[in-house]
Amino acid sequence: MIKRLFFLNVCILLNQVYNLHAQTSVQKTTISYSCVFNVLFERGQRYIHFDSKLISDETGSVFFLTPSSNSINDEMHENEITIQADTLFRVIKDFRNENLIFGDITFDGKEKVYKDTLHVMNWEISEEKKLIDSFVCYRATTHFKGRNYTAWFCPAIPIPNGPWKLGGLPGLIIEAYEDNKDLYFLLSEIRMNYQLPVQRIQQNQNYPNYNSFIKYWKDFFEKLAGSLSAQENPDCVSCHSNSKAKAYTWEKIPF
Amino acid sequence: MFLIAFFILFYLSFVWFTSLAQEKFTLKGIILMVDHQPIQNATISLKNPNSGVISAFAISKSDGRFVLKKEHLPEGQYQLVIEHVNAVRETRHIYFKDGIKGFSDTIFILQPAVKQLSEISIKSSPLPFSIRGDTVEFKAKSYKTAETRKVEDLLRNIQGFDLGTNGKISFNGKEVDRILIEGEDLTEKNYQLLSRNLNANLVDKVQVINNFSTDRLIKEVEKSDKVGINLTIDNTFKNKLSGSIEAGSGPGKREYIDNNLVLINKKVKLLSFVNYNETGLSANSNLSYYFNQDDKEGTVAAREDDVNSIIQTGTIYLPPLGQTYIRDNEDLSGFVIGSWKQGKYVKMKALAGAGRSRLSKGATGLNQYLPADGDSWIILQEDRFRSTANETIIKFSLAHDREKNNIGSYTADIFANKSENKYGNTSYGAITDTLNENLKNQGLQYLIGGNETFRLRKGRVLKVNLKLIKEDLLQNFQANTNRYQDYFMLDSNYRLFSQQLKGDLLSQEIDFRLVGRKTKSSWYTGIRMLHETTAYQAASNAADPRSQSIVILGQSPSVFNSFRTAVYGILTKPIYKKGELSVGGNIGFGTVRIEQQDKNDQLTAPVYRGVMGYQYALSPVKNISFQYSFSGQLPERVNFHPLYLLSGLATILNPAEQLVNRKNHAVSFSYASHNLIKGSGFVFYASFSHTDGAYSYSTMRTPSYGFLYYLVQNGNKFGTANMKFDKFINRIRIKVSLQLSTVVSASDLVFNEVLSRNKMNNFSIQPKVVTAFKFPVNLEASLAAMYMLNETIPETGTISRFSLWQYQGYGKLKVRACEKIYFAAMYNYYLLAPRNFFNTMDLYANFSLNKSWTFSATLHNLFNASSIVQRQFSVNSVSEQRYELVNRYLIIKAQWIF
Repeated sequence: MIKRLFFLNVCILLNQVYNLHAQTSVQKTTISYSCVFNVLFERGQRYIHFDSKLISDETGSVFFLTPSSNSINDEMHENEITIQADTLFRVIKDFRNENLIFGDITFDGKEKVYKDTLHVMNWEISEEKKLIDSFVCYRATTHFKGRNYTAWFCPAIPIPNGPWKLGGLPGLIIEAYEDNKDLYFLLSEIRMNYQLPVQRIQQNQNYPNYNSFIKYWKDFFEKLAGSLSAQENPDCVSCHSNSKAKAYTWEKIPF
Repeated sequence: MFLIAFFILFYLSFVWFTSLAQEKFTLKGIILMVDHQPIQNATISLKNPNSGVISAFAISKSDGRFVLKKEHLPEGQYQLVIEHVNAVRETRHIYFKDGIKGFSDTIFILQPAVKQLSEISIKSSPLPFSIRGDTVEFKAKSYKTAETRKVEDLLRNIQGFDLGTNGKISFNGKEVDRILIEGEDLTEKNYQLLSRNLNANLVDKVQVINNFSTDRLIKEVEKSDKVGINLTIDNTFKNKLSGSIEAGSGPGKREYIDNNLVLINKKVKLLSFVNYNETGLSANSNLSYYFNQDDKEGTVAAREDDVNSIIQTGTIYLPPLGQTYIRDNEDLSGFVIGSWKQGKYVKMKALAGAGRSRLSKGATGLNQYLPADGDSWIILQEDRFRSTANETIIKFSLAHDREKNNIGSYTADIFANKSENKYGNTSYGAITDTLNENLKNQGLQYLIGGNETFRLRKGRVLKVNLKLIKEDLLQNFQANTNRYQDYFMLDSNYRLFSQQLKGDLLSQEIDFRLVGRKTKSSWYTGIRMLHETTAYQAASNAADPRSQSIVILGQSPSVFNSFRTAVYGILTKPIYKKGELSVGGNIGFGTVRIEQQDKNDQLTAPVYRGVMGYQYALSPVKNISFQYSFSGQLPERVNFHPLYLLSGLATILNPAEQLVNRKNHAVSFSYASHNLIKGSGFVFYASFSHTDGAYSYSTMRTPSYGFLYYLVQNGNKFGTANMKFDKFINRIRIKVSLQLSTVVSASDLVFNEVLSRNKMNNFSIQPKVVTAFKFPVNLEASLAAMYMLNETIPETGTISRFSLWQYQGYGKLKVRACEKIYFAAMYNYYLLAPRNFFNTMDLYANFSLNKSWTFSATLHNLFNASSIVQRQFSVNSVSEQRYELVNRYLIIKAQWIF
């Protein structure tokens, strides 16, 4: 009798626990950011508008940019190559394993996926606060991958996430930008209990790490610089080339 | 007991303290849901309970554990807040003492949240502009205010734009060449038709296009240094007849009507503007200006003033007080502009416009003359001026483009004007006289032109341009005065003087230009020929009304004939990243022949121009440029006309008598930079020129009359420098601007037969502050201080030297009571003459019922100021005039946008 009672109570308890868990499962949310990116960062100014989405649930989140409907196809300048996929800055965060994977567009226009650490940046929170719409936001700054970023986060929205690789603050990032505002995000919408269907990258695969990402571009640039210097006169070993190649990457790579 | 203990759920909340004295604070713990499941991504914040500032924070991991660390945590009360999107917020109060290391193994159990986070939408757009390639695009909506009415008001609000007093627009230091509507060039060089008339509420975007060119084929090979603007119309106004109508009325016959009609679709673009006002605004915006816009780039002969401005009546030179205070007017104007496609490859454009204006001005004051010989005199005078003008313009053009290797366009323009100016002057002091003048002008101008562009082999482009202009002028001038009698040695009965001038101009110009490109360098070369003939016939007489006898004062013809031809070329080569070096010029020869009464002369001389320039354009909003040029040019037709022309205020005009080449050296430098995000900008421009062989008016002046004649002078110098700086200080939400400008000039002249050197220096400084607070009240204030110096140093005799500081400024209070209601009060003050402080105030209120209807009221000249005093200088003379102002009035307007 006692055993049956015990078993029944365990079932009831487990059921209650299950129900509690069901009530408390993290909502699926789709967060939209308006984004402006200066594709000629460090060289000039050409700002392009993007729409971006941050889609999250209890396991992680997916972030990506798509060109805004207002964007017009640019005329390209000579000596300039722009590689642009349908989506840019794809980042998938895995909260459980505390890592993220991100997509990088290679020279041949394909996406290559790498692994990186989740929210590795050290934030400095200042006393400065401001109102964005009706939200009281606090200012936090960090140095991340070679650039300085400012984020305004709202503690009243306790989602420690943000656009792109940014996050890890005690509140949702409402506005974020790099110091020169070459990259700028501003939250425009949060939709609760709504998850935009999106193709996810398989998170269980063994993706190369961030060092591989750096190595890929360093190797590529060295080859490109070498082939340019050989172009002027391939038969002349001792001739010097006047070609100069310089690479610009958003996450700064030491070339 | 075991079972009871097993089924009891309890909260475990205990801490223990360590007494080790360390500065670093560490809080370790675990966050669990009430079912003891670990919570990931819960935020743990250590806050100041008063300010809410977060001193330290942590995020819980997948096992619910967290570590919160803080170096140097000051002693005091703190709030520990634990939050998760699906849990009720948990708050603990902690008092931190020095020496406390922290807390470890704390456990926080959260209750599930009953209420979920609601959906959020933030209404804001990050940037009101974007930069793509050579185009900077601004969203018009972000720059409109309650007082923005026309496109030029909108452009004034956009950083980087500068509007001159004559309506000329520049962006980032470069003058705008054209304004397009939906990519269509309807007005060509006459863009003020759009900027001054088109309602800004119809505009969606303003696109500034650097390296602007209207010629598709030339654009492929040559990088232009011109700037164009493209206005896109809001989609709600496209593909249907849209526009706006605004009407207003007030006591004292103050009336206002303004109508815009727009029809924009794929096949047709049609605009019409009608404006009628008695509120001091100039409705027709100077139609003759539109006709005379010409491409002055590298011309063989630079175009000067047009034919019909030789004889003038006396006039009143207005102080810079704003048209609505000075102009007592009645103006009506209307334009229709349209373009449509005829077939697949042909586009037609037409413009028809008419304007009628009435204007009255009045002033009293004194003039003091101080010639070098020491015989000075003072004249006190009262002036009245009234003008009426009727102008009509018709332009028609046809363009073809088969989208292959040839494009072309042809244009035919007609401009007709008829005006009458009346001037009355009563003088006391050195002379006592009542003068009445009447000048009737009639002019008719025709222009026929065309160009064809061909793409040749090896990427070269050939452009052929032909232009024919004919102008007819008739001026009838009458004066009733005693002042001419001394000059013509007539007795006092001969009071009626009349002058008739007939003019006829014919000009033909043809230009062949070849444009090419080699790797990164571009070049163009060509040959241009210009032939001009100007013929005048003048007749003047004096009449005695009592005896009805007439004395013929003169009948004189004047013919100016010139032919010039030059070959020209420019090479542009990029150097050092985004820099460009341009070197080139033109060389040719020309012949000028004049036939005046009893005098013929001819000059054949080389014409040349050399130019060297460097430009570095880092971006569409940042550039630096330097240019040096030198030139030798033949005399221009405007300096040659019949002898002894009677003109206003008892002036006798004489033409130049010598034919001399004009030689000029000029250097200019400009730097412009705008940071559109930060709202800061800096523009600097400086230029200096030295000219020999310039014609300038010299004067023989007595209390009665003035005798003006052209003399050739050497050593004319002219320099100008302008600087404008503005910055938006985000922290206090205030924009500050500072503008400095200076003009210096020096030239030789002869005044009353004494050779003199005249120097003029003007300097002005204008700081300005505009607030952009988020609450309803904002301010705007500006102060301008101007210093003027005019010095005439004769070879012999007394130096005359005048200097003056003038000040003017305004303060404006702007109140936005809600989304729909706006008030503004503007206070202006002026000090344009010593000890004559003048102030005015205008009030404005605006109510926007909805997107279509707006009502406004303007109370003008609240203090009902009747006049303003201004001091002005001229060579060897100073005047102080009191100008009559428009009386106080109220006008109420309603605007409908459809």
